[in-house]
Amino acid sequence: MIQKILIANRGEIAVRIMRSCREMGIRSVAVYSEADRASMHVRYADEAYHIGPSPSSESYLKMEKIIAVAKESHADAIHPGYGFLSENAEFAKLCGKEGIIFIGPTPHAMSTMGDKITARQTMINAGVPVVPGTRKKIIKPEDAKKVVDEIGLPVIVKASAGGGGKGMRLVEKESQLMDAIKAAKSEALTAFGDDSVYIEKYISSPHHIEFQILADKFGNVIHLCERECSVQRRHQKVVEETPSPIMTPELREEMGKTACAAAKTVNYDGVGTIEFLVDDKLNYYFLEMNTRLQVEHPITERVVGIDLVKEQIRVANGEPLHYKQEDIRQMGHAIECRIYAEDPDQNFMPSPGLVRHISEPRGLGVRTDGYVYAGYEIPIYYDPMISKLIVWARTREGAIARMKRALYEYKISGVKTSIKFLESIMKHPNFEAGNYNTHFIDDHFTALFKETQPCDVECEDLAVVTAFVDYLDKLENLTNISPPMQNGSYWKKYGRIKNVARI
Amino acid sequence: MELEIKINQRLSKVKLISRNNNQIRVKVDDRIYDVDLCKVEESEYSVIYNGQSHNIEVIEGETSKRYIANTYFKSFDIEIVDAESRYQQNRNKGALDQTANTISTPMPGKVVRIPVVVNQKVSAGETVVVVSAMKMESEYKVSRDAVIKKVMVKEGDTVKSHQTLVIIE
Repeated sequence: MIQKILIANRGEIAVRIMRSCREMGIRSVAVYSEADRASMHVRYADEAYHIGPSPSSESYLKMEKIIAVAKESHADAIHPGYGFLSENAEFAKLCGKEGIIFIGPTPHAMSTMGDKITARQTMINAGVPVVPGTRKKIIKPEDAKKVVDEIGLPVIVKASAGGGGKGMRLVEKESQLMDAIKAAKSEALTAFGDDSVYIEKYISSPHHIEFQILADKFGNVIHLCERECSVQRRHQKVVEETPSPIMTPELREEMGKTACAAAKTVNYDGVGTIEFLVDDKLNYYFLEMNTRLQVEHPITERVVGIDLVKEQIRVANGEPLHYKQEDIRQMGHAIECRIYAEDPDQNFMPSPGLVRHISEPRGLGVRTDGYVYAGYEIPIYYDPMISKLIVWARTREGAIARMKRALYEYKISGVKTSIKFLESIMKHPNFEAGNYNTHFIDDHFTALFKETQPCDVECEDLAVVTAFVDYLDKLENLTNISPPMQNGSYWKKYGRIKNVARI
Repeated sequence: MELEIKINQRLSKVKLISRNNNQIRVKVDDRIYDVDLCKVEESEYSVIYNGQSHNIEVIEGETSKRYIANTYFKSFDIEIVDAESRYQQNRNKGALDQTANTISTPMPGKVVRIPVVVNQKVSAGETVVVVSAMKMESEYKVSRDAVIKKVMVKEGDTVKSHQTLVIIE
């Protein structure tokens, strides 16, 4: 039985994992870099250990150091969260070798799914539909040409080790093909150290829909329904919701079965996510599998009522699943907005810095997973996501209204955030109608940045009046304070006090 | 008490007419405002005007006379212009061109690369420094043809926002 878990992560996800540990009576061990001494995960944990300088390559990615801390603190297991070491098969292997439970799938499942060409081949063998394209990596340029002739333009050249939109090139004309392959290869080599690329047909106006998988070590696999993640900016998810507005009960059942079959081919265990592309005619294609807890997992937790981190820990403990497929019901509608420390008015430039004041939304149906507090300085070294706002209501309409209300209540000052931008997404008629795909933000860029309520003279004047009063009060306070030590000598002051005190 | 206050580009005369605790009457240019203004938290004011409730945040900027004010929908730069700041402004007029000769970053971060050296000629649009913050790299370019006069930082340095990185000629 796992009694103590080291969380090899930081930020909101570390805190979120520790919350489940606390409910289960499991002790939590935090690790932190230099920049994170005052971070919330360090404050929340039962134990905390320093593991190195601020850059993640010297701290949160240092496998040996983290293993050493796990041994020193007698942790039974390591939870990797998402990002950092969460999809690193080497790390999972190392944990196994050192006798520490890695909370996640086997290294074999991770490496099969982590390499996109291998994953595609595995899915084709299992009868799971994949996007038409190459089965092997492109070696000779002639092969590439042959594939393009077969599947037709446009196509995408993708890096096998890729992710996050890196090492990807869209090809619309045959003349661009060779340059695109060259560019994708060099980008892939610098970003992932592997220049294998493959070609896939470009699906125009796709939806990005993923299925949450839950599996144990005894071959039981169930799915916890879908998440619609089509609102993306530069291949990064911004808003997620479940159920998907385009989903039908029949399609859900079919895709859910396919997702479970895909997970079974690699003897998957724990929680994982199968990502699909879905076109306008509801044809769906396997895109990739994420072998870890997802950022957007809370919306699934909310509609099915299952704590995914607890399930991960139970599976890691060797327990069989506590649920059967027929126990799973989607209740109501959940939406998540990711709040980033970015300035939407300046092309989403990162905005790290000191948080002066934060007040998070509360009330019925609202959950915030964050880690930032007033007086906390958001470091420059890590991801700009500061919090996730998750709302639930019985209907989609109700959930959108609640999200607008929650965003209105959310106040963070000191750093710039994407809250305003998220509000304009919620207000956009196409989002409200559920009529959107992965091009939503690009297609409606100007509309999303239009000021919904311009500030007139009166509104400007009120800001001026407020600053005026604040300045006047500041002046008054200044004149009331006695001047600081003129000559600055505390010895003289001490002497003077001593002299007086003698009397 | 009367002061000149600049909001973004607009300059207004602001005069306090009366004040009774939270009840404040202020004249901005020729407009009179009767507001109920109450400081509810550090830098955070609740302002009631004509029965409408507003939350306005005023954060002190680089000097005590500069503010960033946030209303619900907008963000403003506000500056109190008194005799001292007017004097400063006049003095700094000659130095204005100086700012056009510096490359600085609007955000804190870490210098990743400096692809130029002192005395190198660069043409408009060329990158002179790359700064990384929160996993994102931003390239800072020159807006005109120039010569690199001085490089104020080195690769690996952590920089503050608005710190001068490179001076050009």
